[in-house]
Parts: sequence; structure tokens; C-alpha cells
Amino acid sequence: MTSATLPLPDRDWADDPTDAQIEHLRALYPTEPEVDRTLTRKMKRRALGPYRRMDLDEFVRCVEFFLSTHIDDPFRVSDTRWFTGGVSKIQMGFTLHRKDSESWASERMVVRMDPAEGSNATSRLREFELVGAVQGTVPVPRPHFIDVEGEFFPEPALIYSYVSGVTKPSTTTTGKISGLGTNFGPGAREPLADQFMSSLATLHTFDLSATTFTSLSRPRIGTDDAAWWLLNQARRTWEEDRAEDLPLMDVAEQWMRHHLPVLDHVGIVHGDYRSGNFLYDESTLEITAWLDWERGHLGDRHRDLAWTTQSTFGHYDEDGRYLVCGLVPEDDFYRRYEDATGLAVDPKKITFYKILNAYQIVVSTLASAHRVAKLGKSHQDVVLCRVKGMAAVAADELNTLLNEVL
Amino acid sequence: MDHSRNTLGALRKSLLDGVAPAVDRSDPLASEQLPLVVDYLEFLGTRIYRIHERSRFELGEYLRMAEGLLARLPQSATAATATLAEHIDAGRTARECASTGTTELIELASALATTVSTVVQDESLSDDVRRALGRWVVESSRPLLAFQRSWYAPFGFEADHGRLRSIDELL
Repeated sequence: MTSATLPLPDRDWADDPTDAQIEHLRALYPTEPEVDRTLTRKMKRRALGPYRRMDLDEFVRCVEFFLSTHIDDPFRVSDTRWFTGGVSKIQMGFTLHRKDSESWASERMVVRMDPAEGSNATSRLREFELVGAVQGTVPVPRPHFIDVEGEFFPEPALIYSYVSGVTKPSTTTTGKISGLGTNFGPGAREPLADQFMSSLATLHTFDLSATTFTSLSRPRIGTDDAAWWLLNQARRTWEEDRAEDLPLMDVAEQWMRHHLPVLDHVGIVHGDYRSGNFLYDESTLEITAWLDWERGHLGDRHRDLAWTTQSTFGHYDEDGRYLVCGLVPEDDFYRRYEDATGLAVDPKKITFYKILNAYQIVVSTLASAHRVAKLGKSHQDVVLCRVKGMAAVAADELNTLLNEVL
Repeated sequence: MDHSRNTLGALRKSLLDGVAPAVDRSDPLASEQLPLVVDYLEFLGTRIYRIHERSRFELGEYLRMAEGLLARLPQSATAATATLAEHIDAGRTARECASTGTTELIELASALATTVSTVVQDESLSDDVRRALGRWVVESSRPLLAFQRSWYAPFGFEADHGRLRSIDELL
């Protein structure tokens, strides 16, 4: 047999799904309406062709046109430049000068736009609403404008204020990959840990009664809504994106369907609460902003706790103690969390969400990264090919966790 | 004799010596991606002549997984048993044949993975059987995952690189 002429197995239907196939998956895996909208949009636009890189002038014209429809007063844009570091979003910095009465005011801002498709199909509207809701309680950039449907930009985009700070010490060699394993140094740990724990507690005990969200659904206490929605979201994405089967993923899904935890309290879940996702001032050691809210939702605190305590985000200190996110010894982490929130940490729920989190990372790094790179849908396809290495680590972690519960 | 590894080295040198100096340093995307492309070419140079061995290894591991599954299925599961047995036969024959091409090995391993996935999701099987199948899939996935971690280790996602076995040991 001439193997060179054989096509590799790739579930090619997913490159150009029919409406019936999209509807089938929607019906099979119900989830929150905004998540459904985002995933459906992804699939309906999948065959539209690869991502085309814009040059800076072209992107600036989008910004100016967009702002002209949102600002009545005279304005101008300056200091435009690309930002690096984002795998999932295209980011550009600029200064907005606005004339207010007789004087001009200036503010540095950031545009955050989706690629044609990324390794996580998420909603800019949710990010915009969440960052707006927690203003004044947790350090975050101030959200200013949003293009929900990509009416002015090629894809959905939001604009928020620029916040200065670093994600890791400027002298460290750790945390090169997306902040993983960042060593903040012994002197910085405790001041940062205090703020780290405090903001987490604030989010999980946030008073939702006075806040209205259009893009976030509230799971019902006493039900398994929260876990069920997340599992369905992950499984639907696995079905939409993967190239091949991985039996371990099916075993994991079966186990999770039979062990969905019941929700006892609804909080704001950041979704990616870890080192690398906050900025801080190196001289004052003050956390200046929490970033990357794209996985944010209303749900179970254990989802965040299981994520934050993942071994890849932390490291061992000089005395051989494991530090969660390079900041807090693991046993201290849970004690301090319970003290700060008054909410209990349930080890069984932590286990469930550790399994779900590992499952979700495999979905992103093995399935979505493959499909996006295959179709040339993002500005970072070369990085997405590389994260296959992370899929093997996450799948092995999933395997170890399942071995403990099966 | 194939000279692809030599060519990959030349491509890498071309990017480093010829292209890199011409890249606009104020373009962060270009500056970030060029070293990644160079790095991948270097990685591929270390793997390109092992891809066939990898494909044989993975087919072998999926055969082991499928055979273990077959042994754990009750006699009443006739449809699942027949499908599994058919794919096992095809996979075993191909793996034993020296002339089987790389693409065919990959395709057969993928077909076996799909068959195993279908069986473990079969709702008509009893809970006890499904638990046993799940435990076996977890156990038999270990060598595959250990291998994949070693294969991709140069990408830098391993906290403790030194704990991994080399791909020479695994293949």
C-alpha cells in the first residue's frame, strides 16, 4: 500500500460543519446561552478561511472608526503598538486623547480582539461585564468599549484601560511559559500572597444580588447546574475540535457525569486565577490588575481552587515546601481561604474539579489547538502546535487523577 | 538515502543567519515567532527518523488496550466484541508486516482508539463492566502518555525533565 497517498484520520467534517451537525452538538450538550452562542458562532464561521494578519495602520483605522461611533467629542489616537504575550487574543496598546469641554484628557488603553478562532472560544461580552462588575473590589482594568459581534473590528473586541505592572520579577528566569512556575522570590511572596488570597475571597463571596449580567447565567444552588454546564461546554468543544479519539477522555467524561457535585454557594469564578495572570508593581509589591477573565463565570469556588492549586503553576521553596502559584504553602492556602471567606473547602469537590480542569486543558491543547492550527485560524498557530507538549502532561495528570477515583 | 535532517538544519541556519537580522524588532509577533519556528525545526530534526517507530509503538499500545478491553467484555456484548476483534486483527496484521507504511500505522491506531472509545461509552453495558473497562483504559494509557511526554519534553512543559524516560528506552 502506498501510505503517502492515504489521508490521515482527522475527523474532517469538523473543518466545515453542516447546520445539522452544529445543531446536533448543541442539543447533545446544553450549556449557558452565552457559551452556546460563542461555540455556535465558532462553528458557523469555521469554513470562512484562515486568519489574515492586519498591519498596525489597518488595525488603528478599525479603532478610530469604532471610537467615532462611540465618542461624540473630538478625539485622537496616538502611541499605537502591538502587545506581545497573548496566545489567545490579539492586543494593541494606544493612547486615547479626548476633548472634554475646553481641555484634552489622555488615557492609555488596550484593545483585546479574538483571532478568527482561538484555542478557547470565549465571549468578550462576558469578560467586559465581569471586569465591570468587580471594579472597585478587585484590581482590574477599567472596561471602556466593546464590539460584541465584530461589527467594527474583524472579530469581537473590547477596549479597556492600560494598567502598568509586571507578571514576574524582571530578573527571574522562571515563568517563561505563560507565568508557569514563577518564582517571585522570598521577599515578595508574603505581600503578594496576602493580596492574592484577599482578591480570591472577594470574588467568591461577591454580592451578586445587586448585579445584573446579560451574558452570564446563574446556576441554581442545590443542583449540579454549575458542573454540568462546564462539563457540557468542554465535551462539546472536544467533539467540535479534536482530530482523533483518546479513550481516556471518554472514561473521564463517564466518571464526571456520574459524580457531578451539587452547588452550595454561587460566586464569581475567575477561571484562570494564577501567577502570570496578575500584574504587580515591583517596587511597592502591590497587585495592580487581574487579567485574562475569558474563562470567568458564575459558579462553584472549587473550580477556581482546583485550578489555582495545579502543580504546574507553583514550585518548591528554599525549605522544600510546595508553594501554590509560588506564593502560599498548600496547607496554608486552604486554611487562609476558609478564614477569609467563611466558606468550606470540600476535598471531594476539589477532586472533581481537578479532573474537569485537566480534561478541559486536554480539550484546549490537544483538540482545539490542533483544529485552529490546521485551519490557520489564529495569529499564533505556531504556538498552538507547540502546546501539544502540554496536552501530554495534562492527559497524564488526568490519568493519575482517574486512577485515584476509579 | 534521505537527507531531510540535513535540510532541516539548513533551514534553521537560513532563518537564524539570513532572516532573523532582517526582522523588525519593533514587531513583537515576528520577534516572538521566529525563534519558535527555529526551535521547532531543531526539534523535528531529532524526531523525523523516529516517527515511523513512534507510529508502530502507538499502534502496539492501542492493540494492547483493545485486547485488554476485549478480555473484559461479557459474552453478551456481541456487537462490541465483533468490532473490536475486527480492528485488532487488522492492526495486528499490519504491525507484524514490515512493509506497512507510517500513515497506515497511524490510521489503524486511530481506528482502534475510536473503537475503544465507542465501547467505553456503551450505555448498554453494566456499571461493573464499565468500571472495569475504565480502570483498564487508565492503566493501559500509562505507557502511551509516558511516551508522549518524553517525545514532547523539549518543548519545556515538564516541571522535572529529568524524571522522564528517554524515547530510546521507550521505543
